[in-house]
Amino acid sequence: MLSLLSRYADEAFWLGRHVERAENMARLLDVTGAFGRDQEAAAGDSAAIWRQALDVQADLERFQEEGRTLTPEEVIRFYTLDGENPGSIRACIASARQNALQLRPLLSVEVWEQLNGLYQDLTARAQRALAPGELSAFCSEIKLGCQTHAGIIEGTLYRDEAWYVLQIGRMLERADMTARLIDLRAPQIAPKGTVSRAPLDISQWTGLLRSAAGLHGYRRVHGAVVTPDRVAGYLIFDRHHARSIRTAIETVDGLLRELIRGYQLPWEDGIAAPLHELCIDLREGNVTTVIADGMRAFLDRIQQQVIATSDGLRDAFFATS
Amino acid sequence: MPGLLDAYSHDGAFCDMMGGLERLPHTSWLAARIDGMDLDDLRRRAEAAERELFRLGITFTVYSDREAIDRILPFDIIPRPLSAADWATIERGVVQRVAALNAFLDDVYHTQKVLADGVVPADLVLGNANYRPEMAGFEPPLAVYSHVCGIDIIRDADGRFLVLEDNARTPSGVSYVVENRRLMLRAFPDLFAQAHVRPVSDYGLHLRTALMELAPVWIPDPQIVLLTPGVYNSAFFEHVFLAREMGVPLVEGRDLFVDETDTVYVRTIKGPARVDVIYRRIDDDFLDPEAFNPESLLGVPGLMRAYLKGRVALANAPGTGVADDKALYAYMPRLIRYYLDQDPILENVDTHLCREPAGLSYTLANLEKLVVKPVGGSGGYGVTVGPLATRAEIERARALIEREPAAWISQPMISLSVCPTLVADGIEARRVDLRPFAVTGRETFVLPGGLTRVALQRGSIVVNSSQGGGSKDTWVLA
Repeated sequence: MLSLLSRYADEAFWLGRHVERAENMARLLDVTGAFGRDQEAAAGDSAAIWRQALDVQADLERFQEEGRTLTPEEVIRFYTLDGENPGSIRACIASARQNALQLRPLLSVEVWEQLNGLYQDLTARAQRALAPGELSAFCSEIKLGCQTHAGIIEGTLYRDEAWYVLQIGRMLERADMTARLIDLRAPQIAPKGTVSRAPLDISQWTGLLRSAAGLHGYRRVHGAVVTPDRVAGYLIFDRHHARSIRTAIETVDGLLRELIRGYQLPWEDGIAAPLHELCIDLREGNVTTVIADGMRAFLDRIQQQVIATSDGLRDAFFATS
Repeated sequence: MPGLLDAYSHDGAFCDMMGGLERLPHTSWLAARIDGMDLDDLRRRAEAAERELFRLGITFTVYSDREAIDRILPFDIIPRPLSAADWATIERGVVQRVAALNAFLDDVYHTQKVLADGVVPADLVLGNANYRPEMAGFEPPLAVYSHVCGIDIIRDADGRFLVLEDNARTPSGVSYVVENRRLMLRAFPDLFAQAHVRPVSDYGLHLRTALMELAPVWIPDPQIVLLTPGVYNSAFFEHVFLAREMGVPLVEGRDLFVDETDTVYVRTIKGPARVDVIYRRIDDDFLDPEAFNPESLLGVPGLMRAYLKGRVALANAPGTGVADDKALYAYMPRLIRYYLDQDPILENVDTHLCREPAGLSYTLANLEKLVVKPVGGSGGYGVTVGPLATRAEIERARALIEREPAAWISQPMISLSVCPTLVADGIEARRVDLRPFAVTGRETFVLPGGLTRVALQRGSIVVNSSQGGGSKDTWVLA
């Protein structure tokens, strides 16, 4: 049987990434929104909270350059229904739909129907702005939509190379987002004794867990005590948490090996070796060492590895010319 | 209880369900069943079927401003029946016509005997934009040029089948034939139990088999691909459908390349893989920027080179368009006699060629009675229907014909046959045509039935999907 077309591999990879990105964005916005409301009730101002959302995505500069004003409404619009921002939920779903359209010959009718429906709903929805009170319900819908997509993929997609590539894309995106979320709070987990350690607000750390769907799991492991180091450790190293960096990277590593061996693809050591090294570090490392050596540098390495793996896959397998 | 067909009237037109002056024996049971149906129930089933079509993505895309809108071809739930005897005539007629088309193309690209004998004017062929000099002297596999051919057929007031148009290049619509049947089987399982309708679900198998026959015999397991212009093509969903039905990859031009040995490859994650047969749904002009339109980004540079060396098979062959021009159409009955030494089983509609003085003067003198068509057009565009046109429209047509007579033909207005159709007010007669699909490898297979297009507007004779037409399931009764 003919191997997967390079173009389809590319589309499948980005289908996985775009849907995952939309879901992660909904998670981030949902938690930021809830936190912003608390903050407003307490201090009367939530602008700083929303600035952080822009920070996580490294969008602050672009946001300001485009002459947007930093209000909760504007940031929410920027990340939800904005048609111009390629990082908005609407744009992610539109991109995912475009990927799925190209992939139609390989996808089940159900996958297309559901994703196309999600896209149509969002397009209709974008006719008017989202009221602040609607954010949470909106995010829930998006999360559910993305999870439904993942479920239909799980239940119907033929498990050939396209399935592997799609899951790899999805997990890389997940690792990237979890790293970004921790990075946002990194100033508060500078090594002990250094003056740069920022003032601690523990609710930010529970919010962080919640945005990564990790609060319940965390409590099962650590009980009710929430400390920054433990939260960071949990989100990086916990092998049972679905969205931890370790789980995501180990999954990518395993899938990549299976894909290359199972389909006798030319082994690309430049992609596989550094990824596997990172995997071992995540398996054997612990949060104390990471904090001592510098959290920022560690998270940078994760993000660099995500980029390197993505680029490596593109050059080795997806390139169409 | 009053029957649904009590008020049904089809005036002077032949009705495929009821017949002409005499009732049709083979459909009386079906008419009786429909007559006894409940209108609300029928509407519910129709709505469910249309929802299903949309859900399956059997759509064509309409572009407006910035938005791309997926629309379904409106589907009418009342089938269009054809008797076994009628079908036998159509089937034999289509096979004959396809044989003549392929013989003509083979001649045109080789000895051009037909031109030397004066059967067809040389300039009509050699001056045709769709004539491809590159094809001269080339031997396509099995000497077949038009592997997939759609012959548009209408039925006149006497119930006689007439050919209206040949589509020898890349005819579309067969996906509707197969999907419409699936919908009908779901909507009316009880009717099928009684009907014994010839199946259409094996089209993909027949197409795949014919394409396999085009590959060199020494290749044990030839790689077939379907080449599409991409997601922005209005027939993209049909391309997806056919690729899936055949179990072959759907590729775009950028997925393929031709190397220095003139071999065609498809890019896969495992590296390049050889391609042996391409069912292409891209027009000649866009097929290969090296050979044809250099601006084309849809095609594959070097594809013609590979094809002409016999390194890859193409279906349909380039240059096939020279045979399905509306002017050439007028010569088809003569070509059938010339090549096959047979009388045409399916007649043409009388056609006046404005390129000929007699045809021109007759056309200009009778514009009010005639249907005027551009020879190169498709989709019903540029057509003036004299009996329904305004004074100004007729004069505009006259000016266009006088400016360039060779670009026009005219035909009498045929009273197309009708079929009961579900409309806002109940069941009424609407005009229909038929496009059977013929697949030719070693032999020609004609899918039993074909696409019945229906003009949903009352009195309209334009069945094109781009102009408000819909479709019906065509039932060839055993």
